[in-house]
Amino acid sequence: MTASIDSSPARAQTPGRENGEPVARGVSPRRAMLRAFVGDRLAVVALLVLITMGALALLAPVVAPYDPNAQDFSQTLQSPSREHWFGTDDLGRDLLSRMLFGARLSLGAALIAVTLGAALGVLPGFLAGYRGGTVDIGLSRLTDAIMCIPGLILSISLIAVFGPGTLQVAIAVGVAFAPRFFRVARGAALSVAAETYVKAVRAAGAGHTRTLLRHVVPNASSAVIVQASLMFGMGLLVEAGLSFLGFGAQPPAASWGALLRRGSGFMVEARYLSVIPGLVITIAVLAGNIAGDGLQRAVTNQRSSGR
Amino acid sequence: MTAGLEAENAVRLPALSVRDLRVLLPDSERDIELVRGVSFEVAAGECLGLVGESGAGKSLTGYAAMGLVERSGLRLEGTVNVADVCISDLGGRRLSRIRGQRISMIFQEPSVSLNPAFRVGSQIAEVVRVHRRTSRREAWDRAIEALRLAGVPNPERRAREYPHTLSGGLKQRAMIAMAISCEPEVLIADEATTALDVTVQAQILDLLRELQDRLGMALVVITHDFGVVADICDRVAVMYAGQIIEQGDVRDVLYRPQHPYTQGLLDAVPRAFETAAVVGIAGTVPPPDALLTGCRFAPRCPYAQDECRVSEPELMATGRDAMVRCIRHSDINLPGVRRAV
Repeated sequence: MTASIDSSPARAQTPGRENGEPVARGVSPRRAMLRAFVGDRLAVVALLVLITMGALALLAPVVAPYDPNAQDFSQTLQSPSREHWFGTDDLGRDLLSRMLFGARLSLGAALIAVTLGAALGVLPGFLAGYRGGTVDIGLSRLTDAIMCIPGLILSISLIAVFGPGTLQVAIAVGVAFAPRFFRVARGAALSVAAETYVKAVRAAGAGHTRTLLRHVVPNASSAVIVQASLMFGMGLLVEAGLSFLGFGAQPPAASWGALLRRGSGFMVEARYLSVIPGLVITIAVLAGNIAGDGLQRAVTNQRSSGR
Repeated sequence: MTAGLEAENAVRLPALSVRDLRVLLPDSERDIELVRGVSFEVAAGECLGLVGESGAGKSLTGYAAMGLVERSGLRLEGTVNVADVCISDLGGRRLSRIRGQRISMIFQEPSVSLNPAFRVGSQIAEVVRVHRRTSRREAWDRAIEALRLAGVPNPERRAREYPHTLSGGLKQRAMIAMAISCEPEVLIADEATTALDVTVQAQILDLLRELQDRLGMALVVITHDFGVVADICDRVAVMYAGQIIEQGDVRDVLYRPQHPYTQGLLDAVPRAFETAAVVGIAGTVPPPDALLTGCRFAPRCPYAQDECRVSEPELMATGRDAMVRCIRHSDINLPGVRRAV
């Protein structure tokens, strides 16, 4: 142990540049993934659709042509026209304005549900997959128990306890989502934990917390991100379903599902009242799924070409 | 002065000493022994080879010496000492502090030994920061220095690259840089050259030897390749079915093997300029749960007699630092390695 590592004099090099030529910094796997995603035109379009919807929802007070709750009994059940692009409902409220404000509830509920599901499920999943043994068995059995209850029943019973409302629906859906996130995270961590580089950092003296957070999580998280984007579509759909059943947003506020439900009463006189919300829900869910699939493809492509 | 003291210590205590190491797979009826009481010592500056065919338990011995059997459900018995520290009694944080700092390991597949999500340099710097209280900047400099020491050309640049942009040989050098970044006393190389092509193999072996000289490390080389053993090792321990069956100076073992299994392995090494087919060893390694009485090699041994199947032979000392686990070692005369024509 007499020789020291710090023996060579040349150390101070200008970072980023070397001998005048720019240094190739290499492409990080995450950036390679992003590149693959951007090259996937369909997925990018889907993502743009979602972003547009989100932006419109955020800007609803600015862009909405009418007050969503303003009733005008001289204009009831008007078909789509220049004044009312999406028509009006039985109380003369402008459907476009109601859809724009409804987007806040629908997209927001889906976002909260996915975030909550991920928050509850991901970290225990990573922990179970990485540590294995009794930690894994305990957490997995708990998850199995939760998964035994059908998601819809679980959501409805939670709403029965906390009362109807968009936030309650979002929380209920989030809780129902948590086991799925747990499973995906566990599986991803399980495969990463078996990698030699995890063994290598353990051999180099990294503790469990460091190994898990610095080495397992970054490599296992792409699967979770893909799952989250796919669950977003599912969250929209479940929220719409629960709102359709009357558990979600309470009048006069209305999410897309609630608008669909109200429109369903006028299928003969005003078909557009149910067709438009239905179509928008379909487009949003489809966009979420296509974007998620694109992300999945980007992740796997990056994996196959990365090494 | 410190160096003198350390050198004195090294003479008295082996850098790595493994005593009666057992790896057990708990089973409902009885525990299955995967490593069956392995003992060896490696002094500072010395290189020990662990050879054997697949399933002999040599890699598992290496992992067990590092305590790296978590998540596998395996149980360890025996003692492992790094100089004066008994690491087999340690766990958790205290074991982690020894790993990487005093005993390190490099692995077979360099392409999967580095985390693909991080730059090479930051992975090495991370190891430095785990063990030493240094600033990020110092750790990074040290990482670059370790890469330079590991023979990575243009280390400032390579440190900023991601592992997938490096060739296999460079990745293994980066792994070695990571392993030696804290100047460990013991380095275990688990088939470190197996996945590399021959010219790179030779370079990596040269590098290991050079680093060993420079840092005074004890080196344990786990391999199935007698070429590697002949090239780099001072002593060799031949493993079969979870046990050491012969141990001694490399020259003695290669030219005057005492165990028929060692001879079998030597005969199985292909040689240039020789038309004769390579002679394999008939049969396969018995599975670890096989109920065998007597010598575990007896079913495959051309010299086996009835007495070999009665009881399991002990490891017998046959000379200074030479040991063999064969009751017939003095009766049979083995030719050793056949010299190239």
